[in-house]
Amino acid sequence: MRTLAPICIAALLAVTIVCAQDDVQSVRFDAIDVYVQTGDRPLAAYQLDLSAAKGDVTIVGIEGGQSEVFTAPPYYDPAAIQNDRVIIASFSTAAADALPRGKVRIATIHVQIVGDIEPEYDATITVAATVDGEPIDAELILETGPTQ
Amino acid sequence: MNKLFEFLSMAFLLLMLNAVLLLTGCAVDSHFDPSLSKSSRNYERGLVDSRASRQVVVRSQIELLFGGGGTSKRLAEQAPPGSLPSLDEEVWVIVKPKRTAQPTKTDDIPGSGVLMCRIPVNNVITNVALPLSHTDVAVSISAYIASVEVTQEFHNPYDEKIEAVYVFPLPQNAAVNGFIMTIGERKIRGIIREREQAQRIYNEAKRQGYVASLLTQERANIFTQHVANIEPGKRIDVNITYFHTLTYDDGWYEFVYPMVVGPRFNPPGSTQGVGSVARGRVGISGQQTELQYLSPNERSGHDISLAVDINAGVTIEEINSVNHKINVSREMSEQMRVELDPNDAIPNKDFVLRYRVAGDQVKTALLTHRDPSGGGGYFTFMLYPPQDISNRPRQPMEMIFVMDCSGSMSGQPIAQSKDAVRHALGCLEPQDTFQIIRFSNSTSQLGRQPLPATAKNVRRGKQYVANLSGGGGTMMIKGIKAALDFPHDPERLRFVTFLTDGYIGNESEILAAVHDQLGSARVFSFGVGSSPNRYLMNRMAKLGRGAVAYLSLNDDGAKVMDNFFHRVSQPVLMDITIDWGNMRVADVIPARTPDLFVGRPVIVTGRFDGDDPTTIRIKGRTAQGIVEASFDVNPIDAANEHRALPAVWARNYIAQLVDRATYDANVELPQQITEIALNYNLMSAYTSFVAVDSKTRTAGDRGTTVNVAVPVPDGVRYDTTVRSDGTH
Repeated sequence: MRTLAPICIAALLAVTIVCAQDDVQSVRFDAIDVYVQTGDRPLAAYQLDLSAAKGDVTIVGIEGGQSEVFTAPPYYDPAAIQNDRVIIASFSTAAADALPRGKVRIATIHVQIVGDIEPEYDATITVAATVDGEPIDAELILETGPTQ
Repeated sequence: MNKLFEFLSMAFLLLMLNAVLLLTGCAVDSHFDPSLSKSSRNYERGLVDSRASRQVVVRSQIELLFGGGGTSKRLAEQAPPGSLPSLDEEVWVIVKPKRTAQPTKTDDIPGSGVLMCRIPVNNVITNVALPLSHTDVAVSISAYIASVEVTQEFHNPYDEKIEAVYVFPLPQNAAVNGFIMTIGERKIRGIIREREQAQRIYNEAKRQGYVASLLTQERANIFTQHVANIEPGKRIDVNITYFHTLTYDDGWYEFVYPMVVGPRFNPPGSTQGVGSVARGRVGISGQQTELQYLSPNERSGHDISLAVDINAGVTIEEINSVNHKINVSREMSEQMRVELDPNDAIPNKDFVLRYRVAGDQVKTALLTHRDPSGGGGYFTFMLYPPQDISNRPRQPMEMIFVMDCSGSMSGQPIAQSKDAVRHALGCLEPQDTFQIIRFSNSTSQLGRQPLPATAKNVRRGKQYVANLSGGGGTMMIKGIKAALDFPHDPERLRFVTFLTDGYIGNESEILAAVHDQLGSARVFSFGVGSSPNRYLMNRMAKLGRGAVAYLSLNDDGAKVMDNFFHRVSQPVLMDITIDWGNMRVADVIPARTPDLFVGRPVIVTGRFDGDDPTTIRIKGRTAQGIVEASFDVNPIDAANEHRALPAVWARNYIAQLVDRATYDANVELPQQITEIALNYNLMSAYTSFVAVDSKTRTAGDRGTTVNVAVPVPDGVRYDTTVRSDGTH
């Protein structure tokens, strides 16, 4: 019995540690830079719809874009954000020569990721338009970068 | 062998205990960072329950498992005395350097990055460095709705990174729906989340070294700002936006920006109140929310700038600031810009701006906002009373004055209060009766029952008031019960007037008592002092179906009471009902329309559907009988689009649910409040804003929490209201 007791205790110790580790998931933060490639067309307005197709992702911040006209962080749809779906839009009434074109970072989405599954995102540019309201056939690019 | 068996047995018992704690979510986190030593891993990264008994168990585990508690014991001793981590809050090991967390230089030298101010008191200079340097307030008023942007500038004057924590007030009816964190040129919009979720996100981001901010609501008018991982010398701004309706009183609109939370009294045994402690004395109040106050000879250097742009829609005839010096510029007859004078920028008293518009141009009005997605919209309806009904006979009154004589009222506040009541006694008519009740730690009153307002009794009442003084605690609940809990004279209107600064921590108990014991009485609240608890004042008046007035230190108590008394003694309309005609309305707030008094409009807000012009019909009771009035409106007037209305309606709806929660133990109310707040992106007791900058991770995993101490409100005595000795 005295020989068996320490073995049982050690086994319990191992089981407890393993169970504890399984219950605690890793948590990390990341940023998704959202770019729109407009070619040579000046971008005056956009609307973006983004959500995680895979992974446990929580939106924790929405940052404005690189251009002066899109620096202000856009408003989000409150109902959508509760399902961690970002619907944001922004527009500028600036003159065409003051608007960005080419590969333009329109926003950065800050996220918290729980667990080890690498997230995958569904993202759509539902609106991209010039100052005259003409639609732009824009390409959407998502980039996630390392922390500085 | 026996000793080994004993050791293993003890380990087994502890493991069983650990397993139990794991199941209840309170065990030490075992997700280790291999770069840290075992003892510091467990101590630093564990989620520790706030209850002392579990802290002791965890420490004991560490000490026993890792060979004596030497390291962890030293770490525990370095924790701030009396500090207890809240649930789910991570315990940070504060490894203090040889010097305390103060700037390396004690002189105010340009370029040191330290905000300090020298206050010579008896030739003693007191320098205080704190992480909040400046607050900027930008206000835009259109009609009777204010849109406000508050920018708080946090910076780190120390040589190690910090977390700044700042407890501050906002108007009790503020619909807070915007939150932006600014780091350098970058702006990150915060996300509204359920409160616990937002707290978890913030805690994790803080633990991992990310710059993050969290805004929580402690009361309807008290908020806490947390900003984590501010690196030495760096600055982080937090911008908060909110909307609210202005009050209108006898031709004057009033805009208020509160600047400091007054020190609160908490009944013995309470822990859910708001503690008031001296700077640096963390946790000695034992309250869930705690404010630190600067002593009278200390100054932090935090100042405030404020500008108001008014577009009244009608000619502005006069404007003044009750507590501050202002600079005014007029652009048009209907537009004005008001700026706080830079020489009056210490945030220790409410900013109260009053402006008078041309009286005959103010009409009953409907403001609307159409929902862009279709399906109706939101409205506010402001019902204005006639300007004068003094020629009409009034019903006899039973006037009950309830006077706060606690320690926070001593000095000028109680002097103001006494002036006001003495004047009111002189306004009573022989057919009225009156009673005077005082409360502090206990209550006492003038007579066993209300006295007829004869000349002799009025003199007696004035003498009683003259002998009152301030001191002791604030057991307002006793005052409420004494005022409402006795038989009502059916031949008279019972009006109960409270004169208080409202510095209490048990507002819910007070409001529940007003609701439960009101009966056919009306409650009027007088907020006294430079920074009264306006949330409590307004809620008491609302639940009491009465009205609220404010008596600041610069007001003439007799004059304010005169205006107030003549108005409330003769309601224009009571028991009001509204027929909305073709407007299909829903979720109208307040559900029961308040009484209408001269000079004080009634504001009703709600949702609506319908495009057609309509006639709104008002019916109510006067001393002469039932009267009716009607108003023609067009709900779809494009000129009346106000984007703030959805937030204003939602905020009022939440306030109504919160009021109900004080007397209705419906377990679904918190969930209802949460759903509305999330759908409308609003702060509430159950929702918070959180923002994380996931692109910048600061070095190190340690930090020091610095609470921003604030001055006591102007006119309030520090020595009678702020705890510094650790006793309860």
